[in-house]
Parts: sequence; structure tokens; C-alpha cells
Amino acid sequence: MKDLLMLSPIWLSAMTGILVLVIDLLSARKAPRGFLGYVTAAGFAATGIAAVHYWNGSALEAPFLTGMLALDGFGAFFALLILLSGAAAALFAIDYLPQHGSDRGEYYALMAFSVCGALVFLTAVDLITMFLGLEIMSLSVYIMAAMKQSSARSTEAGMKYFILGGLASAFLLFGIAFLYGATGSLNMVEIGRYFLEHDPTRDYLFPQVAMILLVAALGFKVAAVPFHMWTPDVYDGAPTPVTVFMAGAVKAVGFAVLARLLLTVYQNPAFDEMPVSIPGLLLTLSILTMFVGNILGIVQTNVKRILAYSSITHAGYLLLGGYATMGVAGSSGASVLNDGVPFYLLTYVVSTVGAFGIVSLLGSRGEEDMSLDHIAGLGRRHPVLAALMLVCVLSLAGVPPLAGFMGKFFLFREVLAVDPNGNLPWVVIAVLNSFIAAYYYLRIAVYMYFREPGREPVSAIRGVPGYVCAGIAALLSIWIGLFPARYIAASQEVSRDSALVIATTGDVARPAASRSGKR
Amino acid sequence: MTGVPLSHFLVLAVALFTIGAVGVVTRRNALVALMSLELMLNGVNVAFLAFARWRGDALANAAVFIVMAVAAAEVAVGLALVIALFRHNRSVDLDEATRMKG
Amino acid sequence: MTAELLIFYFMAIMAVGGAVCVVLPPFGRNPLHAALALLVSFFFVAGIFVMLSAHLVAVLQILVYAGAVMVLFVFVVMLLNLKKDELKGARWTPWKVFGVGAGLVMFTKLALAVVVVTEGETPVNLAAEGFTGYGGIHDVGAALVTTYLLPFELTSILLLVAIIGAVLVARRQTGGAS
Repeated sequence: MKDLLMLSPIWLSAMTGILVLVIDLLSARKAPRGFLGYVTAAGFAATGIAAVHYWNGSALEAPFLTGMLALDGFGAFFALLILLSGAAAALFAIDYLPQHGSDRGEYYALMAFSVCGALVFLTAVDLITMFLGLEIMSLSVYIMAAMKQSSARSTEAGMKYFILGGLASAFLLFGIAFLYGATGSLNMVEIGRYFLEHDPTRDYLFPQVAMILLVAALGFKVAAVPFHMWTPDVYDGAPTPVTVFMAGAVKAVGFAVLARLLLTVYQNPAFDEMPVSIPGLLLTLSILTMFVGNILGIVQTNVKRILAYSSITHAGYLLLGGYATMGVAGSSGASVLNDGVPFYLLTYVVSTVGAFGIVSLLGSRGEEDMSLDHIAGLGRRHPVLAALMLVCVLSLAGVPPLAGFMGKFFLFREVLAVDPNGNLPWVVIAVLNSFIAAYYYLRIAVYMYFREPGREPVSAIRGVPGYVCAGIAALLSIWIGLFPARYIAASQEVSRDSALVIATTGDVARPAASRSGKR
Repeated sequence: MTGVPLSHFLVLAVALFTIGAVGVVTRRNALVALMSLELMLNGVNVAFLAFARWRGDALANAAVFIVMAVAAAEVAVGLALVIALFRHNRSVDLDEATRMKG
Repeated sequence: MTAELLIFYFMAIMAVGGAVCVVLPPFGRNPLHAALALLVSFFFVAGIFVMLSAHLVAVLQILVYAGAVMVLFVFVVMLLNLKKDELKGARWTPWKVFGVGAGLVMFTKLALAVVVVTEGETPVNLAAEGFTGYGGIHDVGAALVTTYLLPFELTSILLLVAIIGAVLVARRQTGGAS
């Protein structure tokens, strides 16, 4: 019984999907399906309450689930981010889908299954369970991305995402196979223990290969350069509520898993000796991602693509946080995730969900192309939407006192705190990049307020749920910026849980003093 | 059955995986790209089972079972997407599907 | 060279050869040929599984891949009825050269890694150490409903998603409910 309660967020989200399917089946054929969005959001709310209530304690101890999932505060925090994005994606879709001729109940069911998969992916300790969760989440998203059937671009986005996503899944699985080959276990904690108890530099090749494969696969999910090629096309082509989910939930869960996997498996400090070390790799990816995302973002003229490159750039800042892991006083010396990262993800998810969500409200009757010219004069034609958009975009740009600014400020401060001298150049690069990025965010604002409406000014969907959601996102972007203390405290607590604790029997095996055996 | 060293099986696994990866990256035909994905997963399965055999571990066999289920689900969705793509473009060419520029 | 090694080489060469035929343009240009080459590859990989004593998985490989998945592929190729002129000739673009080059580098690196690391490792003697049922339906089944109960159950959600998705995406447009 305890197990079932602990698992309740996972089965609640799956049940939401099944409930939606059943209601969809029983409803009249021609009836609008929007109300299913409320059902889905209510299901997610229940899931969120269950996650906070049951997971915000200690890890699950039950015989048949031992070692399958880690249901803790770390899971609860990211589960909330996933559920927020999922609920927003469901609510924005209520008015979006009918306008674009694809008002299908299956969308809401797939959204619920996708969230279920994301929760499994997030909490899994067993690597095969993790892979399965990833696949449940991804397959649902591929389908949702392609579900605007009247649009060739939507189908192409789904196809492209599917092929490259399948490639990434295969890389992840091959990485898992190498970890299994090195240690004989498929369990993250067991693998970490094996590496702690055996000198990992003796046959470092397998962990090394596995690490590169895993970072590549998860780098794809979080859209880090050079695995970002799909991002603008897919974000642009997919129905915008699905983009909300991809930019919010998929990215957040990708970072959570990346952190937990690397920090748990590669806990032995000896791994810093690998030819391609984890911090080095993440730092390289981080700087590449920031620059490429920004430079390509500047030349875009389509709002959805600008926001897509913005989401790539944000992955760069987050990877910088992933690079600067922190040691925890009084523990086994395992390093944990930089405590700026969860807070930054929170601010990013809130603002980006708002921004993409508002884009989904613009352009009715199947209009797809959302160029800057289309939003020109939005400030006069749709003042409320424009104001909300302004808040979200400025928050993404990191303008004080909004949430995005606090996220950046806190993250960069914490990165500096880890190693004040060593990390200074990287933080300077990141700050420089946030100034470059301000250019294209401000361009959106300038077009909205200081340009005359073009020949074909954009129309906006009038729908209550979408406006309410966008309003909440904008309000949160302001609120978190003004009163960040609570969220920062939560972030610090979450980051302490990021590396799963491994009880070892003996001392940590460190490489022998003479590294003669090392190749 | 110990006549074949472990490394042989693993090189086979790596070969299948790499051929599949090259196919996914270079082939424009969506159907062939999908087949290449299956090849990659097959390569991974060979690696899993080779490692498992060397340890006598039944759990990895179960893992491969699950991977197969995933692969089958992937194929179903992938082929549905291919059909939808064909309906729009009258072709399954991935390059023609780039009216959205990079 | 033992007979076993000979059998392995035969099967491995057939499996890799099938895989190459899938990807390489002369065969792969026609998706039907590629599908048949894939079938050959799957079949011999199943043989490799038998050599690894994974009997249940080998049977499933034939049933699921060579049976179900392959029928699906051939069915779709037939359904789309691709004509020759729609399958334009393959060109060597810089991107492809890069892809093949990167593939070769990856293969060399990974192959060297596995050869170096697993040098001289010997497998457990299944018969002598009591693994009598290894790879059989009992062993794997027991693992699936004990340790792997949760992923086993989750597979059902995955399959549900795949069914809904395939129907939703492939179904002819009905204009939606609106």
C-alpha cells in the first residue's frame, strides 16, 4: 500500500491519460474536445500534490521496487516543473487546437502519458527503467509534434524529431550497455558503488566511452550545441502548445537526469583523471552552446525560432552550472549539482512557457508563420498579450528585477563561489552572452511597441484558459524575481539530493600513486 | 560455448551500431533511416547479451526484452510518421522535408 | 580455429553484410531491397543470440523483428508504392563524406576500446556453476515479473502510446472534430 502511494504521481498521470481517452470515446463525435484540457490539468494538479506530499521525504523502501526509482525531494521539485509545463501545454491547447483544425482528444491523453514518462525518466535509478521513461515521453512528443495534420511543417517536424531522437535514444542505450559491461549492473547506485570500490582508472575506457555517449544523448534532449540542429525546425514546426512542453518539461527533465546520472555514477573523484573529463566536456559544450545559440538567434526573423535559439542559449548557461559542481561539507565528499541550476531552471521554465504560450495565442485560423513583422504593433492591437509577452521576454533576457535576472545572478554567483579565480573567465563569457542575447529579446519588444502594424497584422485567439495561463506565467516571472528567497532555499535543498547517496563498505578506491598502468 | 572471445561479439555490436548511426545520419530516405535505427538497437542488444553471457546474468536478458518492445513501438510510430510525410510530400525524402531552413 | 569460431564469423559477416546493404545506396536505394537486407541481418543476429545462450531473446528476435517489424516495413513500402523516379540517385555530398568518416572514426575508437578492455576475459561456465536455465523462458520470465515488474508494466503504457500515436498520425484527415 505504501508503495502504491509513493508511486501515486506516476500512476495518477497515467490514469489521467486513460481517463481522457475514455471520456473522449464517450463524447459526441463532433463535440469540441477543449474540456479535456481541464481534465488533464486537474489530473496534473492531483499528480503534483501527490508528488510533493509523498516524495518530499525520504527515499522509497519497498522490496519489489528496491533500486528502481528514487522518489525524493529532487524528484518532487522537477516533477513540479514538468507538471507546470504539462498543464500549461494542455490549457494553451484548448483554444489553439480547434483554431488549427486538429481538435483531437488524443492530444490531451498523449500529454498525460508524456508527463508520466517524464516522471519515470526523472526518478528512475534503474537504467532500463530510465530508458523506458525516456521513450514513453519522447514517443508521445514526436506524435504530438506531428499531429497538426493539415500542416506539412508539423509532420516534418515530427519526422525530424523522431529520427534524431531515435538516434539519441540509441546512443543513451549504448552508453548504458557500456556501463553494464564495466560493472555488471544496470542500477545507477550499484554502478556508482562499483566505481567507488574498484579503481576506475584501471580500465577507464568503458566509463569514458559511456560518459561521452550519455552526454551526447542527453545533450540532444536539452538542445546543447552541437546536438541542437533539430531544435529550431522542430520548435517552429510543431504545434505551439507542444513547443511549450518541449522547451519547458523536456529540457528540465533532461538536465535533471543529466545531473543525477553523471553525479551518481561518476562519484569517484578519480574520474577527473579521464582523458575527456566530465567538467571539461560540459564546459566546452556550455561555451559552444552560448555562442552558437546567440549568434544564430540574432539573425532570425521568426518569433518562434528566436525563442528556440533563446532556449538553446539558456541550455548553455545551465551547462555552465553543471560544470561547476559543488562539494558538500560533511558527506563522503561526493560533489553535487550547483545549487543555482534548479532555481535557474525554475525561472527559465516559467518565462519560456509564458513566452511560447503567448505565441500560441497569436495567429488564428491555421496561420503558422510568426515573423517579427506579424507581431509589429501588437502593443496597440492586443495590449494585454503584448504586456504579458514583454514581461516573459524581458525575464528571459535577464532584466532586473524579473525572475530571469535573479536566476542568472544567483547561478553566476554560485558558479563563482565554487572557484572564484578559475571560473571568472567563464562567468564573464556568460555575462557577455546575456548582453548579446538581450539584442534579440529587445527586438521582439521593439517590434511589439514601436513598429507600425504591417500589411497583415496578426490576430489573436480569444480564450480564457490561455490568457489565464499566460497571466500566471508573467506574474510568476515577476513574483519569483521580487521574492526569490523561498525558491532559492528549495533549490539549495534539491541540489543536495542531486547525487544519490551510495553506502560503500570500504574506503573509496583511488588510483594508485604510480599511474604506470594507465594508457 | 566459450570458443569465441567476448571482444568478437562486442566488435560485431559496435559494427552494427556504427553502420546504423551512419545510415541515420547520411541517408535521406526516411524508411531507410528508420531501418538504420533498428540496426543500432540490434547492435546494442548484441552488446547487452554478450556482457550478460559473460556474467551469467538473467536480468540483462529481461532488459533486452524491454528494449525489443521499445524498438517495436518506435517502428510503429515511425512508419505512421512516414505515411503522414508521404501524404504531404508524395515522397519519403527527408531533404525535401526541409522547406524549413536550418 | 574451432568450428564455433567459424560459425560465429559466418553469422557475423552475414549480419554486418546485411546491415551494410541496408545503408549502402546500391541496395538501399530501393526500400524493399533494404528491408530484405535488414531481414537477413536480423536473422543472423538471432543466430548470434543463440551462440550467447540467450534462447528466449533469439526466438523473440525472429518473432518480433523478422516477423512483425519486417511485415510492417514491407507493408508500408508496398502501401506507398514508391516508384523508381521518386528514389533519386544518391550523391556524395560533403555531409555524407563527413558522416561516413565520423562513423569510421567512431568504429575504430569503440572497437579498439572493447578489444583492449575485454582482452582475456572468460565467461562463466553456465553448466558448472548452476546457471542451467540461463536465457530460457523461466529465468527471463522470473526476472521480468520480479525485479523488472515496474518497467514491464510501464511497457504497456509505451505500447498504448504507440497504438494511439500510429492511428492518430497515419489516419487520413477527417478535418478534426471542430
